[in-house]
Amino acid sequence: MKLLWNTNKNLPDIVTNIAEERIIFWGNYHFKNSSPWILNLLSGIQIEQVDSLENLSNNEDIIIVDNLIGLKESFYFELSNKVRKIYLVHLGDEGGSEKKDLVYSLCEHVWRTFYLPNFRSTKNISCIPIGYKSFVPKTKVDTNEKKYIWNFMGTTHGSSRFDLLNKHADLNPHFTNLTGDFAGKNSLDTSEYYNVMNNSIFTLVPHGYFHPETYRLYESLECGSIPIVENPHNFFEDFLPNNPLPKITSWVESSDFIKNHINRKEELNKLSNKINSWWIVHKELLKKEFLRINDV
Amino acid sequence: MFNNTEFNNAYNLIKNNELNEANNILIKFRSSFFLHPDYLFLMSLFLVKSKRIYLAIDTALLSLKVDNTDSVLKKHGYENSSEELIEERYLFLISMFEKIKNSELVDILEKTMKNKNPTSFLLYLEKIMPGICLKNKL
Repeated sequence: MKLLWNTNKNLPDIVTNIAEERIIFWGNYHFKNSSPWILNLLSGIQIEQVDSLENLSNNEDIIIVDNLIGLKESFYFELSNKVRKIYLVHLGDEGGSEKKDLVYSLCEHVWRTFYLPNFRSTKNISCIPIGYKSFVPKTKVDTNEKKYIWNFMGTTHGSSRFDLLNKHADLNPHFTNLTGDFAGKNSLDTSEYYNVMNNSIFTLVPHGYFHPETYRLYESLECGSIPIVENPHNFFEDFLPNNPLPKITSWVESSDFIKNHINRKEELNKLSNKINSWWIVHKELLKKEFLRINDV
Repeated sequence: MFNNTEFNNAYNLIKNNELNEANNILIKFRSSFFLHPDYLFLMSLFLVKSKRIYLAIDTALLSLKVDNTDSVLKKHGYENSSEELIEERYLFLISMFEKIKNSELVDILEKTMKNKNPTSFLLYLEKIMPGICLKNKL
């Protein structure tokens, strides 16, 4: 099946307003950072990546990976006249507020990031984790050899992240890198970032700007660092059923959890292994689900 | 406590744990009142009842901030919160910071409530929680 990665195609050459700035930033961001995760999920399907819509026949099916689709309705309308079925992987839309009804109605199936309960009952929509960015390290540091007890790298926007830092400040050694903006100028480069995560027993995972999911959850899972997840409204029980992740509603629970576990190495290793096994199985289930829906 | 009767209804529904009905009122008023300090306070009460404690704190802090930012009130044609609501908002925030065991912020807010002047607290807030801001709302 053909696949077109459309997030970074047909972007404006010159930025004249904030909307265009967003299209360019997120279009390139997803192309650079989301492709390893998405292509991993699609790895069970025989895919031919194409750069344009030329040479498509109307009995073909196509997978499109895209973002900000509300601004691309005419593209999808034209595409629906060119091919038999469109399968869409819709990235972004953290707040769930993007205009998407028309584009979704033109697709055979949509996999979207940023799960919201109202998509659960829609037959042609499945929600997938937002995944990790770029390529994660292949080797994992053993829990007993890790340099840091915990890490947090990211912006400090509201009370959750403020409280996170406050409640864990005395748990040393730890690593923090605080940035003003998402992927802003103080952010570590990918290899440094993953090096810290790989070397941390725990990664603290607060709520995102609008949505409970953040990339650092999946990045910590890939690195073998135990994520401690802020779980408002029991979101992660709903989205990732039967997961063994430590979950908290207030960061004091997290610091207590770490203090209780940090010297119980055997228990920590057990928990880490349990989480790793669950994550491997969960990814395989997601891949199978892609295969099932594509009927390959 | 509220000038808007529907807000009073929503407040009573939240207090009585009738959250679905309260949410319907909040949804109805969202587009016109999303930055209204009283609406934000109601949202924070609703969020804490639905186990979203940090979002509740952020929303109550934003309510306090808007209530003390004349340019935003003027732009949207909103009135300030009543004295009764201002006091309840302080008490709510204090109880939230007690809940997350942050005694420093409890002390600061108790002093702020006593002085009835949140200026220095709001300046401190800009440093410690830079995301609670109104940069696109002015």
